[in-house]
Amino acid sequence: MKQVTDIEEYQNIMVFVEIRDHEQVLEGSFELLSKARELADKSDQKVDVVVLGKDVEQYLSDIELSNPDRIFYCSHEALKHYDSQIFPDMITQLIKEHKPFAFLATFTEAGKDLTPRLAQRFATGCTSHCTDLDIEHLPDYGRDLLLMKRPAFSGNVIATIVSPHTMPQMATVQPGVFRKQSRDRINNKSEKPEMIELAFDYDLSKIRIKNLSSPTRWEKKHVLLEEASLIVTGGRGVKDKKTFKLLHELAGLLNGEVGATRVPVFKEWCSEERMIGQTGKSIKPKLYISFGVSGQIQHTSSIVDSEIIVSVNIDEKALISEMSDYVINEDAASFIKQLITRLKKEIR
Amino acid sequence: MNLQINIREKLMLNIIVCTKQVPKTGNVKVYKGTGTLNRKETENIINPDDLHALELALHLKEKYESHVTVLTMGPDNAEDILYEAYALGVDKCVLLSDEQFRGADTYATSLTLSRAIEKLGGYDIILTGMTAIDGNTSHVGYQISEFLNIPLITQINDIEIIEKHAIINRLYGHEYQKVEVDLPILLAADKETNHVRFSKFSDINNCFDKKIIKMNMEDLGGTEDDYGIKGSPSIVVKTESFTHKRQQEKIDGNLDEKVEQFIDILKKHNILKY
Repeated sequence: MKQVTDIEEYQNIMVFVEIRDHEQVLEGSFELLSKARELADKSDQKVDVVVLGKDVEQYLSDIELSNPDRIFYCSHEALKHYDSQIFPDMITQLIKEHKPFAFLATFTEAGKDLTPRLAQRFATGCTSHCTDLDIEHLPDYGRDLLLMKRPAFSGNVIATIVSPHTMPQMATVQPGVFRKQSRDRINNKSEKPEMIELAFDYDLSKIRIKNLSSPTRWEKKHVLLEEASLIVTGGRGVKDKKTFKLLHELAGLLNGEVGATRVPVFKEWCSEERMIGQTGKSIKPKLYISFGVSGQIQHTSSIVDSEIIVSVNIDEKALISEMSDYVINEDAASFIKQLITRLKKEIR
Repeated sequence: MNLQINIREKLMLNIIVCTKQVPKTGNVKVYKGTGTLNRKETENIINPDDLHALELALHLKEKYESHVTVLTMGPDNAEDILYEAYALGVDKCVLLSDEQFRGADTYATSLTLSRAIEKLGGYDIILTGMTAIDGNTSHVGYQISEFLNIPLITQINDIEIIEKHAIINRLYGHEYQKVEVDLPILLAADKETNHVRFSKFSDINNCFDKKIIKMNMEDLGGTEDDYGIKGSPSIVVKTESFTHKRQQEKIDGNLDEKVEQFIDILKKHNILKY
C-alpha cells in the first residue's frame, strides 16, 4: 500500500461517541473513551471526541467525565438519528482538518456503517470487532502504530493487525469489551476539555433515502447480558429448542440470564439478542456455565473475562474444556434436566 | 408495438449478487499447535447471509423482469458455489480469480468487486450478505456502496420497484421506516430478510452445463498495486494461538454425583446459600 505523504502530521485519537436512541450516551462509548485515554497518555497524544445529535449539549457534561481533551459537537434536528450520508460526510471533513492518528468507534449499527465508509474515503485500514488495542513503536515501520487485536479470520488464533502506511488507523470495538474507568482512576488532571461547536450546514436536499411516512417505534427486546452476574449458555450440543427452553427455567432458578452461541440463534431456538461472541455480545459475569458449547474462538474470545467458567459437554476434547475452571463431561440435556430437579429441592 | 418493447426494456432490472465462499464454521479443522485453519480438510460453503441475498434476487426476478448475475472472488474452486447459484436459478455467474487478488483485506476486496461490477455494465440493484461468517467484519457492503457512490439499505422487510426507484420497508435503529430511494441501490441481506429456497432437481442436473465467466486483473484494469495483499492497507503482524488455560478441575461420577458436586461448587462460590 502506498504510504500517505503527510503521515507524520497525524496526531491524537478521535473517538466517535454515540447517542443511544437519542436518550443517552451509549455505555460502550464511555468504555472506548477510557481505553482511548489510556492509549493517549501512553503515547503523549490527545483524546478528541466527536458527537453529533439533537440537543447534544445535554450529554456533554457526561462525556467530560471520561476526560477527553477536546469535544467536537454539533446539535441539529437532522442529527437525531445516525444518517449514513450526513454523519460520514461531517466526520470526513473533521478528519481532513484535524488529521487524527487513530479513529475509534463502537461496533453498533451506526459504528459499523460509519467506520468502513470513512476507511474507504481515506483508503486506510479498518479492523472491526477488536478485542484489544494498544499503541507501540514497531521498528519495522519506524513509528508508533495502533495495534488492533481480534480473533483471526479462521482458526483458533488472535491476530494483531496494523495499517502502517495509511492514516487514520481505524478500529471498532463491541460494547462490553473494555471497562469504563471513573474519572479519578483515569488520571488526576481536572482541566475541562476544550469545547468546539461544529456548524451544521449540510445540504439536506442531497439525502438520497427519503422517508415516506412517519416511522413507528420498534420495541427492542433488551437482554442485558453485558451486566448479568450469572449466565447459562447453550450451544449446538443442547440439540433442540425444547431443551434450550429449559435453560430459561435454569437461569430463573439461579437468578441469571440465558446466552447462546451462533448455532441456537441460527436454528431459532432463541433470539439474536442472546448471542455471545464476535457477532454478539461480550460478557464478564461472576459465573459462566456452558452447556454443549464446543468453544470456537468467535465465542470464547467474548467470555474470557468471566470470573468462573464451568463447561458441560459430552465431548471430552471440546476446546472449551481447556479454558474452564470446572469441566463436567456429561450430555448437556441430561445434566440440565437433572440440575433443574435438584435445584428445585435446594431452593424450596 | 415498439412502445411496448421500450417499456419492457425500462423495467428490466439488472441485479448483481456478490457472494463469498467460506469455510463451514462449527466444523473447522484446526492444526494442533499453530491453531490455524486446515483448509484442505475443511468443507466450503456459500456464506449464509449471501444465500439470503441470492434469495432476495430470485424473489425480485419472479416479481419483475430481471437478469441476475452472481459474482464471487476466490480461487478456482470457488466455482463450486457458483454452480450452486446456477442450481438456484440465476442467469450468469462470474468468478474473479487472479494470483494478484490473493490476500486482499476488506478494502482491496471491495475495490475489486466494485471494479468488476462496473465492468459488467449497467446495474440497478447490487446485493450482498450483511456479514461473512469467516471474517465477521461487515465492511464490504458499506465499502462497495462508497466505491460505487450508491445508497446501501439494510434490514429490509419488503421491497417494491416502481420504474426506476424502490419503496422499501426497513428497520433502522429502533424504528420501522418506509423509504423511497432512486435506483441503483445496494441491499444487504441477512437471515431475517427471507427464507432460502431449495434447488429444483432439474436445475441441479443442469447447473454444471452452464458456463462460468472468468475475469482476471487484466479484465478489471489497474495495476497489481491495487489488488490483493499489495492493495490492502491492513497487515497482520502477529498471530498467537488463543489460550486462556484454567485449572480444568474435572467433575467425575455418575449423573447424580456430578450434579451434586456442581451444587457444591455453586455454594462454594456463594451462588447458592448453604
